[in-house]
Amino acid sequence: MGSLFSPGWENHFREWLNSSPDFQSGARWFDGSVLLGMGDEILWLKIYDGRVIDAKPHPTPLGFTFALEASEESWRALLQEDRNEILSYTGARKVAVEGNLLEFMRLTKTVIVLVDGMRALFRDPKIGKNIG
Amino acid sequence: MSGPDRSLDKTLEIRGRYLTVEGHRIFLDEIGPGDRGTILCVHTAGMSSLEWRFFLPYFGRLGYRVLAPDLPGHGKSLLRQWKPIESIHEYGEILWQLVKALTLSRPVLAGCSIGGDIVLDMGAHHPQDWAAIVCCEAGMRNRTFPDDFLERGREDAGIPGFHEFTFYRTAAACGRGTPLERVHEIQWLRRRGDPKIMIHDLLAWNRHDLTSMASRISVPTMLVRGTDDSAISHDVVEQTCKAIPGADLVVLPGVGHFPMTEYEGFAQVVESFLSRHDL
Repeated sequence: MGSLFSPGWENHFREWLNSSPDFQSGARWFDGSVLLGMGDEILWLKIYDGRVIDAKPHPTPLGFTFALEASEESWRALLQEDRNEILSYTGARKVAVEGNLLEFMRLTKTVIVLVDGMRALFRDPKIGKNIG
Repeated sequence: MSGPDRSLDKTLEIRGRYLTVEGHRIFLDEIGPGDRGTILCVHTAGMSSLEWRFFLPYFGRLGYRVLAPDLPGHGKSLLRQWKPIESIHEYGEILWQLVKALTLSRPVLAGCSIGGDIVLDMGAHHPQDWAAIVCCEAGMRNRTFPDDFLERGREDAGIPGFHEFTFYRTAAACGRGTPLERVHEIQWLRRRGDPKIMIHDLLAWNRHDLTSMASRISVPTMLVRGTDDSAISHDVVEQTCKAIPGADLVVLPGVGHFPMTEYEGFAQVVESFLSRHDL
């Protein structure tokens, strides 16, 4: 997701999530992985016990529990919204949800916090490329 | 505009009452003396009369009698034979029986979302029996949700985490101009709703089609749509407005799917509409 964030943003993202009480509580009962995709660029997050315990910028043979995938244009529009509109975007299919849709529903709070984290980093001038 | 000072008037306290209609034990909130007429308010999917708690006192002070029932299976109302209702028209006919049981004479109907669908349906099936209709965030045909999502929701296991999903989805359904305190109230109201009842309401909403009957509505009608409502498109509301003879369309900037709870000025919008029709 190099057009949206500076290199190494994944580490900041992981740190941001793991320090978020909402992420810790929302993902407390999840043992799985979430893939964020923008074309060929992806971020795979292994989540267990309310924490991101691994992150890779490429697919793994383990697959994923569910994925959020969108074009660069849609991700940028989502991150530039004045509030977290991820559920509007998934409802309108501007962000596609793939994989286990039941786990996606069950993890709604975690999905919200994931996007909260992306929005926060996107607005950080040292990490995000919020170029209007 | 504000009504006369009735601060000591006991009829200006919201009171709850029960009655049985068509085998359903119905709860309703009620306020006001009724010398200016009666307004019947219908809530959204899965919800209750609480959605109208800001609206009721305003019109009670103006002299109206305002009633807000909980639909069967919602709030404090019980379902006959514990079978969820999946039809807008069936809800409408139950409310029609409620109107008869209470011997209400040509009330104004107001509804939002599935409540909006219901009041339009009542207007089409009983064209002479209302003083006016206020329909918010609804249209003569809505296809908001994918069928497979709703079908999955017939079982709780098909939509795990539905309360939380509703909680966050509600925030996105509120308008950007809505004060956060109101957004939080609506979020918490909506997570009180039972998922099974909510899903049946949404199935009813998705399948309802009043297209061939909308022109039968013959009383003054106002359609209301918030510009931030993602549940129903402006086109659908506009087409509905064109199909109903003489209907007005009011667009509320920065308001979402719940204008009666979100927007402080909503009651004045309705008051202005009723005034234009000498009601």
